[in-house]
Amino acid sequence: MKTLEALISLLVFLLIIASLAPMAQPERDGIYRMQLANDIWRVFSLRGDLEGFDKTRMNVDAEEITKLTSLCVELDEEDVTSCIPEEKITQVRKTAIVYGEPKTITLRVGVGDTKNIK
Amino acid sequence: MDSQYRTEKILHTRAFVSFDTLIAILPVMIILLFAIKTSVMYGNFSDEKVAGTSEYDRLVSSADYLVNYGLVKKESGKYYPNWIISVDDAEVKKIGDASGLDLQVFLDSTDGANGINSDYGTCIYRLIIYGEKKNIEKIYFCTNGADDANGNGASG
Repeated sequence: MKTLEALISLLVFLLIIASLAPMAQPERDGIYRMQLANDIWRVFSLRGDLEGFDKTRMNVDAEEITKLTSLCVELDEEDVTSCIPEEKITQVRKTAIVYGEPKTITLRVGVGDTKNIK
Repeated sequence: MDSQYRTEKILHTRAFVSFDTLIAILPVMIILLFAIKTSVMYGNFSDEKVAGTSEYDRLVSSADYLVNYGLVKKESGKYYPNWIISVDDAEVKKIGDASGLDLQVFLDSTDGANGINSDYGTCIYRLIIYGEKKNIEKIYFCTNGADDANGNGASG
């Protein structure tokens, strides 16, 4: 009976180790991903898209970025997206003046279906 | 009679407990062995990871500096992060030397990205605005390993 208990304990222990192992490895390129997301925001800013929050221009630039990088760019709740990020790789929160009001926007960058971007 | 029966029962019980403990100790030993092996493996893995990522981390830091300050447009003492007018090779070499990397910079439109990955060990890219026309560009930062002259490198 005790042997059985010990074997069950061993199994549980192995399962716990197996589930914790991926968590023990930190993301190697987390900072780099964040830098890429900030690059995208700066591109919007330098291209003048944030002045007046021109969503049409932002969409064009988002598609251009997707063409270059194969990454999907999405501004949460702002109808700006090049493709839907199915697997998010990073996100940053930024403040922009949207129609005269300061608003916090989430910029999501991820991997998704880019077939429609040509 | 009663005493003899009790003695036999005690002996049987002790024998059973000892045997059961003997078998139960095996999984415990396996658990301990597994725990020790795992900790040793993760220790080695961390060492390799530190050695391997140090070059990558220095590349990411160098690229970040160059994209934010080193190569960007400067006007009246003001810096424009991510806006590059031209690539200053001297600045790239200076930062490469300082970080102990054989750092190379390529622009997607002018130099092209083809062949970069096969020639260089590690490459990353950053998004920038290039030139006065403000085109969206990808700029590659590559290194083929540590600059041995500095003697502080790690292989990736």
